[in-house]
Formats: sequence, C-alpha cells, structure tokens
Amino acid sequence: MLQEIAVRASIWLSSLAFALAPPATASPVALAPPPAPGDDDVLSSHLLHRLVERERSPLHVRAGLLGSHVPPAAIPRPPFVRGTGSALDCEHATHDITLDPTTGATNATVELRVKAARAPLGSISFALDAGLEPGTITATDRDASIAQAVFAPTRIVRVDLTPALEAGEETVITMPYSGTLSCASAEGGAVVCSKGADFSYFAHQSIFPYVFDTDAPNSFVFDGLTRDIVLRVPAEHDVVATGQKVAETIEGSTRVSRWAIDRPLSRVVGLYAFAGRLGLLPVGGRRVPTTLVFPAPKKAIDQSLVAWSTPALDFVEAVGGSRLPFDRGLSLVRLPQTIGDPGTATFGMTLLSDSYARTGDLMYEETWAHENAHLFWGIVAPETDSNESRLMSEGMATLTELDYTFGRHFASEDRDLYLARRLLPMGLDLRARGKDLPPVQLLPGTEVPDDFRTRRYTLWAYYRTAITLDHLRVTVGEELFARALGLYVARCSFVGCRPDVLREIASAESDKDLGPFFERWVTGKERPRVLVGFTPADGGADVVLTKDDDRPMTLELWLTLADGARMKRHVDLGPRTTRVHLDAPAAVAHVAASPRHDVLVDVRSRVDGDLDFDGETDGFDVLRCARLVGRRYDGSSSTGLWNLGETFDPRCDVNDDLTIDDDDLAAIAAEFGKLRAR
Amino acid sequence: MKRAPAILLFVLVAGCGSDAPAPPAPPPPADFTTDEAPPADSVVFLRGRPRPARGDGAQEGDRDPDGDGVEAERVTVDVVARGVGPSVHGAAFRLRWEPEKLGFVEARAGEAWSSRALTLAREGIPGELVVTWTEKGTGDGFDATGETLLGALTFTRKSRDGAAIAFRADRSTLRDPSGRALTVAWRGGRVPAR
Ligand SMILES: [Zn+2]
Repeated sequence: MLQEIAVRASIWLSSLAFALAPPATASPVALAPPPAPGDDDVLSSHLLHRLVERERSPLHVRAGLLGSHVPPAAIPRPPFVRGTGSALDCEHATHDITLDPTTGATNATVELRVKAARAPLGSISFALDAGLEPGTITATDRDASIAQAVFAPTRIVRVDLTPALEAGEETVITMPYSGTLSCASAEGGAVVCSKGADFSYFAHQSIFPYVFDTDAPNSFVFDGLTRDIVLRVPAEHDVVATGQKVAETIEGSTRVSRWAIDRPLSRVVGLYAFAGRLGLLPVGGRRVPTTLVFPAPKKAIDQSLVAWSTPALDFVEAVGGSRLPFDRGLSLVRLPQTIGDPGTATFGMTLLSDSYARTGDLMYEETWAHENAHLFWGIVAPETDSNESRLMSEGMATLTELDYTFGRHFASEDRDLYLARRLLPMGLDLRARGKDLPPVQLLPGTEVPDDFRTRRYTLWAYYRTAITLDHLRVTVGEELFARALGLYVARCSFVGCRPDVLREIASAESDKDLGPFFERWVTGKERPRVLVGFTPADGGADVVLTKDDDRPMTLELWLTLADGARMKRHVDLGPRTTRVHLDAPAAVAHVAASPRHDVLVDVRSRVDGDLDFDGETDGFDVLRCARLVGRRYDGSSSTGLWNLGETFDPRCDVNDDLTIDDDDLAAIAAEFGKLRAR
Repeated sequence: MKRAPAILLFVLVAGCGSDAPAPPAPPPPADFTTDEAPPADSVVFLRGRPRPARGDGAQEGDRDPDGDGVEAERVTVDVVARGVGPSVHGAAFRLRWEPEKLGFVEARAGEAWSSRALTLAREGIPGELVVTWTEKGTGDGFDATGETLLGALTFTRKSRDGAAIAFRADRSTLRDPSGRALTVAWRGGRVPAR
C-alpha cells in the first residue's frame, strides 16, 4: 500500500523536498555590496523560507498536490485547521546515535513514547536519510508492521500499530537504524546533511528521524515532546547539537556527548548536530554560557555576529519579559551558505545562514535579532498550531527585529515615523500581492491557496502578522502591549497557545474587549475607512470620526499644535459617528491618526484632498504628491521587510493602483482650495 | 463712487500716452508697498508693478473685468523669490486680505516654471487665496539664488481704503526636488489708501 503511495506521490515528494529546503546554488558566496533581494535567487529564497519556516517545512505539502497524487484513503487531506488535526502526541524521544561525520556511517536507535490524543492513532511515520535503513521496529504492547519507501534523499518508514492506540493510550516505539548517510541533494540542490571532516551538518530528517502522523502529515499541532540525545563521534571531532549539553566525555577514541531537550517542544521543531573542527567563539556579557559556532576559519562576520549577539539576546529577553530558560548554554550558529539552510531557532540554539551577509550589516544584524527572537516566539512560547497562525511566532519575531533595529541604529529618529516607514513597504507588498490571502488566523474550513508556499507565505506569515501586532500595540498602548507579551510568555511557555490567548490577556489588561479588534484584523482582514474631521475649539479641538459600521475601534489620534508639538490621544470610536472634544494647550493645526495604523485602517480627512489632516486642501497637500508623479511601487518581489527607505506615498495614489501619476494629482487638484470658514 | 479714482487714472494715463514724440515719462508709481525692506537673505515677497500706462500692455478688458462699463482699478503684484537657492521645485502659499477692500482676479505663474508645471490658485474663502505652483515628478527645479519671478497676482480695489495682503507663513512653503522645505521669509505688503 505504501508502495502505491510511493509511486503516486513521487511528484508530491519532489515538491516536498523542494519545500524542505530552499535551493542552493553552486556559486560561491561573494561578499559584495548587498544585492536587491529580488535580484538574487538564493537570497530571495532565504528571505522567503527563512526562520522557523525551515524546521516546519519537511512535510509541508501543498494541499492540491496531496489531493491529486495521494490516495485519500491513505493520506487524507491535510487538516490545516479543519477538523481536529492529528491524534499523534509525541511525549518523549531518546536518541542514541553513533556517527562518523566524515563518512556518514551511522548506527542509531530512537525510542519514541507516543500517545493517541483525542482520537485513535493507528500509524506513525518517520522520515530520515535514504541511506539509513531501519532494523526491527517494535512497539510495547502491540504489533508494529512496517512499510517503507525511498524518495531520494529521504526514506519514509511507516509503522502501523495493531491494535491502534485508543485515545489516551500510549506506547513506546523503538526503531534501530543504520547505514551510510547519502546526504544527497533534493531537487533544487537542497540538503539536510553535509558530511565532512571540517564542518559537517546533520539536520532533522537525516540522523534524527522526523516523526509525523501518517494520516495527517501536515499537522503541526503542538504536542510537547522532550528528548534525550546521545551522540558518539570520533574523539577528534568537536560536536554541538540541539539541546542543553548535559555531559561530554571521551571514551577510548569516541567523544560521547549528551544533550537534553528537557522542556516540551513540538515534535516538528528542528534538531541539529554539527561536528568537525568547529569554530567556537564565546559571546560575552551573558549570564548563560553562549557560544557562536561556525565553520572554521573565522571570518570577520563571526566577530560581528558575536558583537550583535549580546544586544540581540538582551533585547529579545526585554521583549519577552523574562530570561530565556536555557540555563546551561546557548549555541548560536553561522550556517555556511553552501548548505542552503536559511536558518531557524530551536531549543537553546539559533542558526542563520551567512547568505544574509549580502543584505549588508544592518539587515544581517536585524535578521540575527529576528532569529534569536524565535527563541521566545516559537520555541519557549509555541503556537498551538502553526498552520493556524504565525502571529506569535513570525509576527513577533518580525516586530522584534524592527524594534531592535530602531534601538540600535535609529534611536535618534521619531520612533512612530520609523515604524510607520518600515511597515509601509510591507503593507504595499500586501496590497500588491496579498489582497486575497487568508487572514492572520485561519478559521476552520479556510482553504489555503495552492500557491501559498511562495512569496505569498511571506506576506501572510511575516508581514500581515507584524503589521497587525504593531497596530494592536498602538491601539492598546505601548506599556500595556509590553505587559501583555510578558504575560503571554509566562502563560504559554512550553504550552501551545492560540492567538486568542493574546486577545484574552490584552483584553483583561486593558479592561476593554479586544474581540472586535481580533474580528477585524486577526480572524478577519478588514481595512475599514475612518474619516477624521475637526474644528479648532477653545482649549483644543472638536473632533468627528466617522466609519461605516457599528463595531468599536480605538485609534491613537495625533494632535499637532500650531508650534509643531504633537499630542497623542487614544479615542474609542463607537457606532458610525463619534464626536469628542480633545483638550490641548495651544491651537490645534492637524488631527490625524498615528501613521502606524495606516496599513490596516484607511484613515482619511473628511475633506477630500486634505492629505495632511489640517481640514483644508491647499498647496501643502499638492506639493506632497507633485514631486512623486511618475513613481510606481513594485511589489512583485515582496521584499518590503528589507526596504528601509520607501518613499512611495499611498495617500498620493488616489486611485490605489500603486502608481502616482497625473490622474492622481488631478484628483487632488480638483479639491484644491477647500478652506475652513474663518 | 468707489470707481472714481480709477476713471481719473484712466484719463491721466490716456493723456500721457498720446504724446508720442515726448521723452519717456518716469514709470508711474506702483499701487503697492512691500512690507518692510526685504532682508538680504532668503525671502519671498510681493512687489507692486508700476501702473500700466495706456498702450503699455494694458488691455481694455483689464480695466473693465466685469464688462459692465464701469472700470475697476487693478493692482498686480509680483511674487518674487530671492536668495532661495539653486533648486526650487514647488511653491505653495496662502494670502489673506480684507475681502471688502480687494477682490482676487487671477494668478499667473512666472516663466521660471516649466510648461509641465501644475499651477493652481483659488480664493477658497473670501479674502484667502491658496496658490500652488509646482513642477511634477523628478527634476532639478530652477535656480532662485538671484531675484526670480515666481508669478504674479492681480486684484481689484473695492474701496479707497488701504488694504494689506499678507502671507500666511504657516501655510506657505518652497520645496526643493527632494521635498525638503527651503527656509524662507514671507513678506506681503499693502495697497495704499486713495
Ligand atoms: Zn521567523
């Protein structure tokens, strides 16, 4: 039966392998001036697939391919968020691996304690390097029958349990396996391992079998798996693996190291081992021993990564509201671009490809911060189902990187304007390519677009999420948002949480129901229009806010006084029209919303053509746009996150076609001269 | 009653212009006084034009814009920039006056602007004029280091009283091609009483 799957699934698996790791090219890395990401295939691919994406890719298959090439009886449609998802609950794995990193000779055993959660579980599968063959597989208290298939470079071993585990039952499956790692390239050149005497790399699905539910291969529901890992390599090899290092001894000619993942993680979170003559640099200033691991010899960039690591980790902890709980050590890994792995974060380990060096120091450092942020957002605080949403993983990591770069490099600027400027091209990319994407949080029954695993994934997982989080932050206020994040981490540590938990915490802290916010922008994807008008009044301004619906909304309004001073006021909008008097110590010249709302709220002046929200249409509005005539925003590469200086002004793009032209200017000119009565 | 000075002026100018062989007369005084002496550094100011003599570019229609046979006295002021720098890409300004004393007739952009430039002027509310003269798209703009005519504005007198024409500096700006505001002082002026 599996053989049949094997044949029919060949297209599925070649696509799978592609999804597994982005293609690497044979060309050497040249540390040239950073290219535009859109012009650089490798870099584009890494920008696209990077970060937590990597370790969650192995069996992430496009729904359409699964549906058309795999018999539904064998592998039903991927659950995504429809139905209950997988019954597979991995509880503990013990890995004992003897490895010659130079030749790839491997002799290993995995013991996996699994439980059936909520529903019966009759079958689990392992994916590992095709060069490794299983021995006799056993399961406690039941029969285990095996089928396997090879789709180079991956072998899939299917274990059917008789009787099936009933909900709540558990068993321990033991799989010995041995052979010589092929570390072959998948289609597109991707690899999951790389043998060698100097720097060898063994990722999940090579020496570490990747475990999945045969009946729900794409289920990423958090299960909470702990692991003990023993690695035995020739003594001359340095070795670093995922987990907290428990012990390392030399036994004869063998280096034996023991690693523990002693907190529950998702079974899909990445496992890595590195061996050889590793470059190791200590990262100072951290309470916990922290080491940069890289392929020797040391490059200048390694010293930079060390220098960035302390501020990045400190910042990440400040955002998370607590210390990272990896008490015995933290490994930070520079991956060589030749491996083709963009990077990720896992238990006590952050990895990043040096291909990002080509984006320039500032963005490389920022990406380093992003990756380290995942130590909280995805590892310590995992999502219940990363197919459901990436709000609290990619969204938080992306928001953190923006904030980090502000603090490190733009602190002398206006923070609001900096953030609005960073969010702008991300929002324009969404406008260009992401209009039909699903909302931040998929609802049951949501169909994921067939081309989801493309740039559009970046738009959904990174851009829309980070934009939504910042919009929430402006809505509830900075302090409350920071407090909510700390509470979220405390509540969700090593327990999967859904976006609803953030809603609950933020609602409780603000004493305001954030349900409408989440309906609009998390489970929905609205961009409601809000018209702002005001009349200068004694001691401030009388403000009128109008929207087309009855649901509450909160906006941060900016009152600009005649002397240029800015005052911020949070205003709760009720049904339709809201009138409010806002006090100010001087004459009010402009009333606008924070530009950080702009991507998700279509805030406009009640006076057409009034782009600067002074309630009048004059030359300032026209001049803002006249010099931009001829400007076009090219959102095709979806690399807005890497764009620090976008000057396209959406308010000048009256007809919303991502081009500012004479038509737009004419539309503004038509409103010219609308003045407030004196 | 209000038109009487204008009629008188018309007669005087017509008489003057009819003596063809006579040496050129000194230019008639402008109907406008610029506020203060414009400072030597960057400034945009209004400067009165000499009263046009008959046959000196004045058209019959200019004297009788309403076409009602009653001639109104027109006042044309130049909008002049000086010391602003090598690249002016756009100008926006507002002017205020007492609408019972002056009426706005028209604004004309000067030749410094390219033929593609956008020129807008509107008396948005009585006595408040908004003007924009700007190039579109990228481009170097023009040099306004020396005295440069940005454009001209024409009003009609509605009263014998003097009337101030004042820039609203808070809503007036010159921009370079990058959109940066050029630092400049704004000086209006006064149509004297008759
Ligand atoms: Zn990420």
